[in-house]
Amino acid sequence: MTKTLFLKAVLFSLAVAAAGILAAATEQTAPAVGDLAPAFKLKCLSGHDHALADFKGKIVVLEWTNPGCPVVQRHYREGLMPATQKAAREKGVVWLAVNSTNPGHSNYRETEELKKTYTEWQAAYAAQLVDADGTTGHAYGAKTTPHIIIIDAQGKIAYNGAIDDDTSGRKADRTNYVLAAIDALLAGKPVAVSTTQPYGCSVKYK
Amino acid sequence: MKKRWPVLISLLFPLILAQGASGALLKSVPSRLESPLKKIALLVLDTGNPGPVKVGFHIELAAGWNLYWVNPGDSGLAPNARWTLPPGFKAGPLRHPVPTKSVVDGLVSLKHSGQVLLVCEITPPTTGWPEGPWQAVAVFEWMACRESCITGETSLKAVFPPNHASLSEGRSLLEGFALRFPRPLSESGLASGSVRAEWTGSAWRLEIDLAGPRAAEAGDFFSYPVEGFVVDNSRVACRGGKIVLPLIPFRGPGAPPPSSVGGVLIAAGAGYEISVPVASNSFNHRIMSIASWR
Repeated sequence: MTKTLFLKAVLFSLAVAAAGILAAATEQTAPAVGDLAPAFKLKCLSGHDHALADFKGKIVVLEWTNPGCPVVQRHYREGLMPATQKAAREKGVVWLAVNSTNPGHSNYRETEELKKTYTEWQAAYAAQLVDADGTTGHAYGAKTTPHIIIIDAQGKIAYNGAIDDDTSGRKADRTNYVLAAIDALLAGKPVAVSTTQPYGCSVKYK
Repeated sequence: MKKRWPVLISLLFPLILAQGASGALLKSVPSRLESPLKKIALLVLDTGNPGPVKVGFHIELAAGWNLYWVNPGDSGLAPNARWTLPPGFKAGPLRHPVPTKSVVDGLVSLKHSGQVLLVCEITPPTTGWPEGPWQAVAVFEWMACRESCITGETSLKAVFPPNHASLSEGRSLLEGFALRFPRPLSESGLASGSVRAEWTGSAWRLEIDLAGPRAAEAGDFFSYPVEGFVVDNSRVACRGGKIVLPLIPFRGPGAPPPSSVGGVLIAAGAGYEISVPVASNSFNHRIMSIASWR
């Protein structure tokens, strides 16, 4: 009896320790501004592989997206997201949309439907990457759709947050944080606003 | 063809009923049959004359749906009201009941479910109250989430002076919700403490000490939004008589800590509103700043 209790206590302690280690590991995986961006290799909607290493020396924008989220819908339908993508592309920036929606969620869409939707929305990203198991989303600490992370030419995180400061879509003088950060990086200046509160729906992780 | 009508009516009936009960106009709910807001009304809670009047958005959410608190957490959007008022009148911010907290996939949500009352004070101009009837018109903007999210807006109005029945309804509603709103800290049994701000390399880590016989009962802290900072919600902690509040500055490592922070402290099942100044006179951004508060 005593032996069984001891064994249970040992197993419980191990489980608690393991949970602690796992939690610590999870906390460590979300990088801060200035940290090296985690490596990833994901397939796009056309089935091609895209690795962060492919874009060495370039500014890369990662945009977490989910077409079932009304905030994402607003940003695309009102043209803010496509216009920002287009402006970034014209400045030589690589824009990658990342979809971390898990296949069991009602917001999950098959490849052809995603292609159709984002084409209708006139998306101007280089590729939409499929992160169905959420590994890359978790590695970057992506919280919302949309959520923008900008990686500088040295592979470090330069911006983490919202596309703008207009949560309601009614602000007359909105600040586009993403374009401001890209312009600063291209000019070799520090990014003045490097972190903001992303807003939107939660990423629908597994 | 005829057989389809009963099915269609049965599907639309809950929406029609909700619409009728609230007297509200649901303007932009996407084309789904279930509305997250079963009922919404704008009620006069207190006439306040000669001071501000209190009005409230009384909302009943459908099962499983939630609205968000003033700090929604890691995702979501807090509700907002756009007001049209007579000249000189001003509407204050929405005052929320104490939210509930959930953590899914490491993401924190601070939210409301079931019945919700959001209170707003409307202040008359210095010239006083208008002669005769007037109305407060609001467009209530909301995001509701269950498995997925829906955004929408609802147009509502409150007429002044309210009739006896509606004022009585509003007052009793306010009474019924009184215990769900944060109470003043003075009622908590907590006493003064100190605040320390330490730069951790990527965020300010504020440590707010609680004192008094009930300090150990403080079990959670829900931070109000802090202008110019991201509240690192998943790392906010409250135990052992201490609140830990990590704040990531928008403007990076050179930015000083905020001059004050506030939020709702949870102790023994109740919420208490606290506002804490953070000293700047002895501020050293690499070390710490200390302030006492009451």
